[in-house]
Amino acid sequence: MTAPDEAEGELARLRAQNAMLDDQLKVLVRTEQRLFGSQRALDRELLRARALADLALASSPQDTLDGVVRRAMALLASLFRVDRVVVVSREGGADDLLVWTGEGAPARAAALPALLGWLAAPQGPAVWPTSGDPPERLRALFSLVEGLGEHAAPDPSASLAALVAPGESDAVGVFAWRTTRMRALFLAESLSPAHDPFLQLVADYLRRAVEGARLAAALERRRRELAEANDRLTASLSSLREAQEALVQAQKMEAVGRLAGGVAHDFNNMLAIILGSASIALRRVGPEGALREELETIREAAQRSADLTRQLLTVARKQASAPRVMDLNAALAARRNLIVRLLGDGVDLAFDVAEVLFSVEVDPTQLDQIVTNLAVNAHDATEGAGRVLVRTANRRFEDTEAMRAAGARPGDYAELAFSDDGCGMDAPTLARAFDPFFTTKPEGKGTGLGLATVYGIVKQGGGFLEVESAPGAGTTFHVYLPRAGAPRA
Amino acid sequence: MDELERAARRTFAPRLPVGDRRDPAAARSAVGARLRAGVGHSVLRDPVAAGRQAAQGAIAALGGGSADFALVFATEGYAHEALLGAIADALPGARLSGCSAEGVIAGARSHEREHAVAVLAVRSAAVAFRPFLVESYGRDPAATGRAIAAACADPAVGPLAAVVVLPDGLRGDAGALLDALEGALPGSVPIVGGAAADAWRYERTQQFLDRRVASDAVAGFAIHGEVGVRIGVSHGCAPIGLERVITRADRGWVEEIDGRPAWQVFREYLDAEPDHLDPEGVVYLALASTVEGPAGSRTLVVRTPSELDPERGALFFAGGGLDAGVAVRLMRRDAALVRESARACAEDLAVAAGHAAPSLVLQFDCAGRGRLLFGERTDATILDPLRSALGTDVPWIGFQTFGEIAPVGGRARYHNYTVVFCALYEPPR
Ligand SMILES: Nc1ncnc2c1ncn2[C@@H]1O[C@H](COP(=O)(O)OP(=O)(O)OP(=O)(O)O)[C@@H](O)[C@H]1O
Ligand SMILES: [Mg+2]
Repeated sequence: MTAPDEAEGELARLRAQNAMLDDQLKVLVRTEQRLFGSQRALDRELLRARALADLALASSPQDTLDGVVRRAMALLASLFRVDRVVVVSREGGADDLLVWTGEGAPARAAALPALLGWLAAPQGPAVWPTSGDPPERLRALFSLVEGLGEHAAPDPSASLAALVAPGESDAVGVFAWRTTRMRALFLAESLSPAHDPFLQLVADYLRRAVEGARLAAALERRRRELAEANDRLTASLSSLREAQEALVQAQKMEAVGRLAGGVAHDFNNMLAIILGSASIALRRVGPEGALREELETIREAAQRSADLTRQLLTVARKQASAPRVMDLNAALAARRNLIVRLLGDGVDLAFDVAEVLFSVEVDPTQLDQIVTNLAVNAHDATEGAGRVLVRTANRRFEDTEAMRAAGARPGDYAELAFSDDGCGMDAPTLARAFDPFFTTKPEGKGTGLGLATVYGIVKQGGGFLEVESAPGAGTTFHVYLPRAGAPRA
Repeated sequence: MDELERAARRTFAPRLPVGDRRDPAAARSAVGARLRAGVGHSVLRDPVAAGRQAAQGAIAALGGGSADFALVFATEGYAHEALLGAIADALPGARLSGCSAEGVIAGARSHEREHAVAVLAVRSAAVAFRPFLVESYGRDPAATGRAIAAACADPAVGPLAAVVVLPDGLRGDAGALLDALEGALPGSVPIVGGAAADAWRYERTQQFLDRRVASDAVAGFAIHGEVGVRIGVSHGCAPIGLERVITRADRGWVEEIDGRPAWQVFREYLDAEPDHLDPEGVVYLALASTVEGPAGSRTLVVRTPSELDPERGALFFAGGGLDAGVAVRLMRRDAALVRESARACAEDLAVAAGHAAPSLVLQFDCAGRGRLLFGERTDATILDPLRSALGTDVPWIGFQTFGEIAPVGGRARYHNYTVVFCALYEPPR
């Protein structure tokens, strides 16, 4: 082997080695490209996965549809760097769409037929302009996005991508966005539906959000309706019960009153005869005559009976009354001594009167009767040792069943509240307290006509009564007298 | 420094102001006094609204008042006449220059996805920016270069500090343009710039002068006056294999490398051996020619093919100079190197300037090095380190180009897959 041959051989060996190294290099370089490609794809997926996770994490059951849509819009805008994201939803096969564009409430927009057809038969996400799409649909899509925006000038470099996520029935969630200058390269990177399950994920998420929100809204509406109906039912039930009680009471009073009135009338006639005969006999026997004392007793008893009869007539509201407009505060002040006397020394009396009080129209004698009866009852209840509070106040009442049954009308009332801290009443007592002749007091002490009389007077004057009482917790009688001269509704 | 490192990182300072070693704050206030600059931008879609917003932003950043000159980079998709009109209206009295871009860089952010416009506004009594626009560039690039040189010869406005050229990136022989321009300019005037781009459509790019929009033209401006100019060039590609030789070429078309069709050579290194040249492929592989530097150093000028002739298997390289007999290296882009060398290049610039803050920075960055390479992380990966090297408050404007222009080895060169920084400094008083 000569030197040149050796050199030749060495060169060939080096060349072969070179070629081998170069082949290895090619493999390495290609691998690097592949790695780069997958790394970038991974980056993209990561970014989107994070965005989707953010979206999911940010959602809560309290979300409004608006909130969900806005969040998805912001996500899409930032991920795809587009200048417009539009979300449309079509309800119940309607011809118009609910369209979310920028800020503010979604608008209703008429959908072009070409668009509706597309919404009805979506083929998944798409990117425009594409060659296969009919031009009128393309125009409809662009006008949907452009028509709602401030920039109406067509931009040759613009493209539009849209997604339709069909729902179970008529619910269709759609979003479309207008991209600015994404060339094929960037479209392939960011908006290729075939390679991008992310788009479908967002679309599905939105569709479910739209459906969910719609469902939640319907449920909430139904729940509210039910609750309202329930409230109404409860209210009418309780007023029915009140009315029923009031009606029973009124009928009872009516019946007793009629009976008492009829009896009292005959009584009065006969008492008039007794009284008249007793007077004549007294005159005849003279001041020193025999039987005078007996005759006096007869006359007094007859007189008491006449008083009682008058009281019965009051209960039956057959007593003539002479109402006068008066200031209840002043009238009460004038009767303060009377009340003090009736209550006795052992009972503290306090007044708490409204500064300005509606005037009322009432017969002064009947007011005496009201005050007297309430005071005597309070004295009895406290057994002569306790506290009594007399309050007045202006009140306004709307229509209630109880008032109607009592013959009272909605409007302004002056309230006289008479409270004691006495023994109070149990429920059976309370239920019958206003019944004529109902008394819990010993024979000969109570007649059971006190509260019946009060009831009769108040009712005759167009007012009504309320009682609060519980055993050991004292009693308050609320007497409501209509405001004088006020137009009665 | 080995060859690779040198290739990746190079700074060039043709008019070397003495490094300003005063403290940076003081330097900045001195700068403010002589050359004020501000950058604004807008991503609005409406051209009038966007132009107004960007111009007003620039003026506000300048500290208010008026501007003498404005540089405008705008993505495609705008009605550019309306855009320029709005900027001109917002900056009365200012001359305008600029071009269309794949993406724009304004301050700390680059915008490659949306419509975006960046505006640099400057005001200076000491430094004059004189814009020009020369048309019919494709037909006669050499004549275009001479016409630009003539437009820059204005002794009345002080010494010529630099020329920034913004040629159509889809037409014309940038090599011939630069040769003619350099030949007609006084020696040592640096030429920098970037080729106007579109959004990867390869259809049409625009060049701006005042309210005018042209294509097939070279826009740009001359910088006159006492101002320090520092230029950094960095590519971030690594050579693959041994040196090769172009064996057949015809007016920009490289037909054969080492006796084999050029596309065949390329294709063997591309994953899945594609049959067309897509943007990914364009920026993955490159050719580099070796250039002799001043001190016997060697550096690489990177070029990417923009067109494929599948019949001949030939690749077209804009910018000329890749003729038969020229030794080349096959290069692969390297994301880590792109990032690291750009950062190192900016740091070198900062060190050379004694860490004085520049009055403004122009950045011409290859369209293939932004989003295409770094995706959503472009700003954090590329821009943030650069700005922290040169100053986060420095007025900073740039665009994603179809070609970068900067001197290497003492001569103006047309590059691809490269970033060019041009920093203007206040000269020491
Ligand atoms: N303030 C009260 N506290 C507790 N129980 C009362 C009170 N007022 C009335 N009552 C009850 O209501 C019953 C009926 O009262 P009403 O005034 O009608 O009759 P009376 O007081 O028993 O007899 P009369 O008043 O005719 O002398 C009373 O027997 C008593 O049981
Ligand atoms: Mg009684």
